[in-house]
Amino acid sequence: MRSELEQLEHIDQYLSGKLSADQAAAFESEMAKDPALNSLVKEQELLIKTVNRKALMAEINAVAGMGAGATGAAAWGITQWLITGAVVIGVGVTSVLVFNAMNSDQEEQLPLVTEQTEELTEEDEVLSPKDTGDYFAFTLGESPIEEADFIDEQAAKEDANVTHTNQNPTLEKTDKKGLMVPLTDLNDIANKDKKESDTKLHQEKQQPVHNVDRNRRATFLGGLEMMKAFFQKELLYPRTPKDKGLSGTVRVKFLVTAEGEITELRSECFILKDIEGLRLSDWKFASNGKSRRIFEDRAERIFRISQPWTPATNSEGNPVLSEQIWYVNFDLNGESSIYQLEDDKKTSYNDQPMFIELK
Amino acid sequence: MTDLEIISAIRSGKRETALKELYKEYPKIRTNVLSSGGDEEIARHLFHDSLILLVEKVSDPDFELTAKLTTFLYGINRFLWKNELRKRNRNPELEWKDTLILTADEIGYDEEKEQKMKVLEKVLNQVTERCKKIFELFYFKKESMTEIAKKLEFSSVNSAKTQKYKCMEKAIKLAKQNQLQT
Repeated sequence: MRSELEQLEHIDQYLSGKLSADQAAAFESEMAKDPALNSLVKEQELLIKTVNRKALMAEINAVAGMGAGATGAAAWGITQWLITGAVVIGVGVTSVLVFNAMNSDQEEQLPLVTEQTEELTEEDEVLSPKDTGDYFAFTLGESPIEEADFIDEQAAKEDANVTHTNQNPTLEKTDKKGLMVPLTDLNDIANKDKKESDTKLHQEKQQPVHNVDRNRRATFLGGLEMMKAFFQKELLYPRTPKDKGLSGTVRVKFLVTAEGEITELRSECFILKDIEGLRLSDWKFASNGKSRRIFEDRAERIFRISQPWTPATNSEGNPVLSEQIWYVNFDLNGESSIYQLEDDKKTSYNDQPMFIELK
Repeated sequence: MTDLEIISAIRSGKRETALKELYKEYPKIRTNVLSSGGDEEIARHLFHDSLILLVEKVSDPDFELTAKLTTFLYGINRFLWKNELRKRNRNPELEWKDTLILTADEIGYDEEKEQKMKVLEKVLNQVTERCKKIFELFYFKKESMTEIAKKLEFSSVNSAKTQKYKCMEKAIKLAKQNQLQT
């Protein structure tokens, strides 16, 4: 190991109390002399604390999400917490995008989108392990409906970026009821409505805190624990890609009707990885269409047979139609999981991956 | 469960049972928060934060129980709620039953550290899945590096160890960058 890494190991041992009393004392006097070392120790200590907190928060959320009936609004969260400035910027960004979406035709709309994608992708390469870049690129090639969705996602992303610096990620499960699609038929009018209500929502977020809103996301019947158990039982790793040594991630979109039925299931396998966990080149990705379709079928099927769901409710507490986006990650190295992304937070109620062991 | 059972469950890593037990206190806390101008979201959020602080506190081997555990939990919750109200420029008297009045020191709450941890939470979303997994298994689940190397299919324990510290180095670097930005 490099000496820098050895220093980190030494700090780790000190923090976990693995050093003998003498060694610890020696280390402490070294710390007293060296402010850089001292601050490194503090940083590492806090990092470990944060790791534990995050994991603990996931456990608490799991406990909270258990009795969906009893704990009520457990798993979702309106960000009343949002700092007003961030909200205002959010509204601004959304309105600009809504304005553009409503007033410009397709040709004008596309360059706007592309520009933003490039910017975001660049940032993602440095910072984020998530495959947002590819995911956006993929969405671009889709039908007009998809593009409209995409702009929404951009807005949400902008929003997330703005709020990110200010608050705790667990608070960021912004409740965007705007995304409860008003019509089953996703035509342009529906999309327009959607955006308008989205904007309204941003304004609502600034309402005083003592407003108890009863709207909530659609959830798997019985909550997250049940969902995990169901996936664990029903989802199998498909043979063909397994034999080829392929891992894949599938994005599944669907609507949950007011009756809790799943409709309009759509899925895209947008990442393939080889046995070493490396992304396939574009060419190889394109030539593995069969494996992609198999992954998609599997992912879609599991949601299709999982109904009925507990439908989303509006602010009056009445069941309404809503959209859900989930990612199913088939991982050959035993880290298969289902999860939701912050970018899709408007439809999400859970951002912790649920790891499942596939047979 | 008795308080001691809850404490030993937390200390021995059986947090889930302890959390379920403590979660039964939520309705009361919710009422307290709602009656003083909060809403469901804030109540739930504060409660979860209180649970975290309580678990952290209890996990400290030096922790001694001086009151009922739930009283302590209410005390933390009250503290956090007051803190939140102060941020909103309100400062009402909170009269809660069976509640300890606790100071930031007693809870182990440090505003500056909390801010830093927010940055670190962001950083943890930026490191690779594999790094996250190593951190979680090692620090939270307290698994040995041997187990982790096996589970995550490292070629050797040493390469897992090296990876762990590389992840750490990366995270600390990212944290520095983030702190400069803010």
